[in-house]
Amino acid sequence: MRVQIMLLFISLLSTESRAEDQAIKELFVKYDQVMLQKKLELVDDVFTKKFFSENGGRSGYLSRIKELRAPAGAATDLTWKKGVRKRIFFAQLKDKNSQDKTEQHPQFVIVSEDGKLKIDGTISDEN
Amino acid sequence: MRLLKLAILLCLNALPLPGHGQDCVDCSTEKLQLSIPRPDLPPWPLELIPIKNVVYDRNLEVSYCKRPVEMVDSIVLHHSASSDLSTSEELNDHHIEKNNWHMLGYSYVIHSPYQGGPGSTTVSAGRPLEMVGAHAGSTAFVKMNPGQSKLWESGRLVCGIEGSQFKVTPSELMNNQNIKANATTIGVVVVGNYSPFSRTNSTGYSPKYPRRPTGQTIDAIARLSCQLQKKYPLIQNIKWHNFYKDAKNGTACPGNIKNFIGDIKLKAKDFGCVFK
Repeated sequence: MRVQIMLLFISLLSTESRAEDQAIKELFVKYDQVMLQKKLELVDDVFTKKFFSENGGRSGYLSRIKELRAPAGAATDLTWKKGVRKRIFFAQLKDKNSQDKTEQHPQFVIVSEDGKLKIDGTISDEN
Repeated sequence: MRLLKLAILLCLNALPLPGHGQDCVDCSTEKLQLSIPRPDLPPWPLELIPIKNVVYDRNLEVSYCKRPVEMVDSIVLHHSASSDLSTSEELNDHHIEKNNWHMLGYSYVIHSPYQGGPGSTTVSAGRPLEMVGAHAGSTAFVKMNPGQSKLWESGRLVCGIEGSQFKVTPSELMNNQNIKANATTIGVVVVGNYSPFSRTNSTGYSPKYPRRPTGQTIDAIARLSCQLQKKYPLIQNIKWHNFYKDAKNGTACPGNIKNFIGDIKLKAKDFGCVFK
C-alpha cells in the first residue's frame, strides 16, 4: 500500500514537471515569434504587466523589439529550473553558434499571470 | 618638556576664541578639540554615503561560510542584469529561489536610476561582510597573500548551517592552495542591465543608445568603495565580475560599468582613497 502511494506521488510529480516543461517551451516559442518574427500581438502572452512597467512601458518596449535584428531561426539552447520554494521559474537562452563567451545571458524570471506563465524580468547569472 | 607643552596648551585654552564669548558655559571640550589634533578621527568623514539596512528573508536550511573581514582585499562590481527598478528584496528572493543560497549573494546593492530616470541613488546593505559572498563565481579561485594565508590557517573561516556548529571546511573554500574569490572579495551590485538588448538579454539597452552608469552611480560606487577602504584598509582593489571568469565560464557582467572603473577610482581619490 505504502509503495503504491509512493508510486502515485512520483507519477503526479513527474506529470507536473512534464506540464511545466511544456509550458516553458511554449512560452519561448511565443517569445521567439515576438522577438524574431515581430508578431507583436503576442507580447501580452509573453511578458507580464510588471515587466513592461519596469522596462520603459509597453510601447517603448515594442519599439525596442522592432529595432532588434537577429537571424530568424537562430539555434538556441533553452534551459530552465524551478524555484526552490515558490512556483517561479528561471530560464536561460544561449545562442548555440555564438563564439562570444562574454555575451550577456541573464536568466529570465518566469511567473504565472492570469493563469499563464510569462516573463516577469531578468536576473544576472551569478553562480 | 612635557610639562612645558601642557602649560602652553593650558594658556591657549584660557584665551577666548573668536565666536566663543562669555555665554559659553562649558567650552573646555570645544577648545581642547581646537588645540589638540585628534589622531583617532579619519581625515574624511567615515560615512561618505548612507547605507540603508534591509531585513532579508533567509534560507535557513542552507549552509554558508563566515570569515574575518580582514580577509577581504578587493571589491567586485556587478550589474544585476535586471531592470533598474528591481528591489534588494527581489534580488534576495531570486538568489534564494534560483540558486538555493542562504540569502542575497552581494554585500551591497546600489539603486541608481538610468540617465533621465526617476528616483535618486541609494545604497542598501546586503549579505553581512562577515559572511563569505556568493557573486564572483563558484569556480573562481585566487592565490592568498601571506596575511590571508595566516587567517586561513587560524581556522577563522568556517562553514555551517545557522544554529549549528560552524567548522573549518576546506572543500567549501579551497582548491590547490587557492581560495575562493568570494572569500577575499566584497560583491557590490549596481541594479540595472548595462549590456545591449538582444534575443538572450531582453532587458538590455537599445544599441542606438548605449547605457552608461550616470555620474551619480559612479559617485555612489566611489563613496561606498572609499568608505569600505577607510574601515578596512586592506581593501586595495576594485575589480569586476568577468575579471574572475575564464573563457569557458564567461560573463558580460557588469556590462558597460567595466569601462568606468578608471573614473570610479579617480572619484575615490577625491575622498582620500587610492585603489590599484
